[in-house]
Amino acid sequence: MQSMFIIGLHLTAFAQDTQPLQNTQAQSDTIKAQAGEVEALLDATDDLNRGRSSHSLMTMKVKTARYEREMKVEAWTQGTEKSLLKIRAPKRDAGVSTLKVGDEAWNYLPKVDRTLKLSASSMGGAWMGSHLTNDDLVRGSRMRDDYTWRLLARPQADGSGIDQQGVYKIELIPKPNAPVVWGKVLVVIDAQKRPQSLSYWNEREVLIREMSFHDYQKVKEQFVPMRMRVTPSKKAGEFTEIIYEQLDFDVDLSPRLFSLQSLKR
Amino acid sequence: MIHTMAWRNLWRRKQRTLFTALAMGVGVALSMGSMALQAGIFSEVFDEMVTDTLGHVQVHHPKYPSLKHLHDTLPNAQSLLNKAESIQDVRVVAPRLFSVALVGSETQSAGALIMGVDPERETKLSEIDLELISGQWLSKQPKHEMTLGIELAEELGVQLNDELALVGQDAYGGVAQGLFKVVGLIESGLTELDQAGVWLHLTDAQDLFALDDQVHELIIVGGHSAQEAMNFGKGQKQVQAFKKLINTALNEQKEGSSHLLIQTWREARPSVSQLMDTQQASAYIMLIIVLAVAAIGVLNTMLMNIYERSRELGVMLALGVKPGQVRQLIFTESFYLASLALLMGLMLGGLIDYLLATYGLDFSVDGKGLSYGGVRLSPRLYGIFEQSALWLSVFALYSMTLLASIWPAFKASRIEPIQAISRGEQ
Repeated sequence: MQSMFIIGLHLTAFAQDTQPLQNTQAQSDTIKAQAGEVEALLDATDDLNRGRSSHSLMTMKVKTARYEREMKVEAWTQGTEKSLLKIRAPKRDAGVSTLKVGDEAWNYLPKVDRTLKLSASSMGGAWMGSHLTNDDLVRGSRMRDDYTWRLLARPQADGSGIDQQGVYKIELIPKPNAPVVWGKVLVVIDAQKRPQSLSYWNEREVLIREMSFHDYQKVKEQFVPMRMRVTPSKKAGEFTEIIYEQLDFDVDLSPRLFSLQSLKR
Repeated sequence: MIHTMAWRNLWRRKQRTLFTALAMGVGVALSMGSMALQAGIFSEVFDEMVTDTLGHVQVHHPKYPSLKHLHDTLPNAQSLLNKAESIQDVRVVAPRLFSVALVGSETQSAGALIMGVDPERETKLSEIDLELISGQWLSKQPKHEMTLGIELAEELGVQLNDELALVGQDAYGGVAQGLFKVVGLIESGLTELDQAGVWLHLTDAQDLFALDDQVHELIIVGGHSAQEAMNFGKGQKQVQAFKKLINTALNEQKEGSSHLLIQTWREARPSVSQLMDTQQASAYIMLIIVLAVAAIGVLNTMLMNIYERSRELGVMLALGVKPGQVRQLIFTESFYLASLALLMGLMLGGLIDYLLATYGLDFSVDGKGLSYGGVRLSPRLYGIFEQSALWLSVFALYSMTLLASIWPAFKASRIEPIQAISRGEQ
C-alpha cells in the first residue's frame, strides 16, 4: 500500500527548470530566497500531482535474500488524497486492492471477500513482501510541515550557467511531536530540480533505507522517473523496484472510483 | 549352625523384631507405592507429551526451532515423508506446518495459531480427533475445512458449517487469504490451543501460505506397536539409535548435516526431559530417605541386641568362636530381619500397588486434570507396577540393612570376653 506514496512521488515531476538563485544578493535576501526555494522543492517532491489525476500500470520487483518476485499493479490517483491500487498479477494475488481516501486506507481481499481497514498498528508492516511499508502509503502530510530543513548544498552557478554536477542536498529533521518515524531524511535533487534520492535514518542516526529515482521521461509536459528503487541499507542485495509500464496524467476519473464499492470490483 | 542360631536369636525378642521388621516393611511398601504412582504419572506425561506431541524424533529446518520463521521449512516434504515412513521401526510420521493468521467471521476476528496437518497421520500421532466436542475431524482430502479451539469458536460466535476467513501473510510477503468451513470444535484442555488453535488440511495450509510441498516439522514415532511405541522413547540409548537411523536415511543425500535438524525429543525439549528426570530422581530419593530411617531402626535393634547379649557373646568368644564367626552371626541375623521386613513390605506394598493400579488417585482440580509441563493429565492417575521398582526396593532394603549392621557386627566381634562375662547378668 505504500505504493500509493510512490505513485505520488513519481508524479512529482517538475514542471520547468528554474534558474538557481544568484549568490550576489544580501545574506538576508539569500536566506529568504533559499527558504522559498527549498520549500518549493520539498513541496514539489512530496506534493507532486496535486489537483491532477493519473492512471498507471507498473511492475513491482521485490528481491530479498530468499526470493525474487514480481507483481503487476494498476493504479489510479486523484490528487494526493485519493488513490486506488489493484494487483493484476501474479494470479495468486490478483484482485487484492488498496484504497486510500484522505488518512484512511482499506485492503480488499477477493478470495475471502473481505475489506479490511488498515489499523494504526499495521502501518509499519511491509506491503506485499516489499521493502515499503503501509505507512509509506497513507502518509499524506507534507515534509515542510513535519520537518525543519537545512540546505547542505546547492548547484553552484557561475557566469556561464548551472553547474551540471551540482545537486541540492536538503537535510530534514523532524519537528517535535511530528508524526514521523524517521530521525533524519536527506533529500537530493539535481540541478534540473529532479529528485534523485531520499535517504532515511532512524532516531539513532542509523541509515535505514534509500529511495532513488531513475529514467526520467517526459509525460504530459512533466519529467517523471519511470523507475524507482527502495534499498534497505542493512540487507545487502535486497531491493524493491517499481517500473512504470504505462503512465498517463490528467485522465478523467469518476469520483465513484475511489469508493469501497469499486474497491471490490 | 549360624543360620539356626541367627534365626533363634531373632525370635528371642519377638515384639521388638516384629516392630522393627514392620517399620522397615512399611518403608518398603510406601516406596513401592510412591514409585508406582510416579511411574503412572511419568507414563501419563510421557504418553501425552512424547508419544502424542513431541514424538520420539523431530525433523526441522536448522533455524526453525529457534527463529520460527515461516520460510524456514523442510523442502520436498512429500518425498521426505515417504522416505521417513519407509525406515524400519518407524510407526508414525506426522508432517506439520505452522503459522499465524487472523481468523474472522462476518463480524468478529481474532488471532489464530494455524496448524496444517495431515488429517490421517495426525490422528495416529496425537489422537486429536478424540478431543472433538462437536462435529468431525478434517477430511482426508483437502476441502477447505477447519477445526478450531472451542474458546476461539465461542469468541467468534461461530458454529459448525459456518465459513470463516483466514487472512495472514504468505511466505513471500503476499496476502494469505482463504475461506474455510468449520467442521469440528476441539477442546484439548490446553489453553493455547483452545483459545487460538486452528487446524487445516496440510495441503490447504501449504496453498494458503504459498509453501507448496513444504512443512515446518516432521514428528516421528518409533516402535512396532502402539504398546511398544509408548515405551520406545524412554531409554536414552534407544532414542539416540533411532535418531541415528533417521539421520542416515534422511540426511544422506547432502554433504554435512546442516540441511535437516534431527533431534530426539529430549534434545528438542530439554525442559521436558529435565522435568521428567527430576521426577524420576525424586522417587529414588524418597526411597532412600524412607529406607535410611528404617536402617536406623535396624541399627538400634542390633545394638540393643548386642548390648543385651554381650555376656553370651563373651562366652562364645571365650569358648573359641572366632570374631569372624560372630560378625557372620550378626550379619545373618540382620539378613533374616531384612527378609522378614521384605515379606511384610511386599505384602503391604503389593496391596498398595494393587489399589493404586485399580482405583487410582483423584488428582483433579475443579473436575479437570492437572496441567503439567504444558500437557493436560487425566483427572485420575493410576499407579503402574514395575518390576524394576520391586528389585530396586529389594536391593535397597538389603543393602541398607547390611550397611546398618556393620557397626554392630564389629562391635560384637570385639567384645572382651573377660570384661563381658564379669559384668554380670542383665
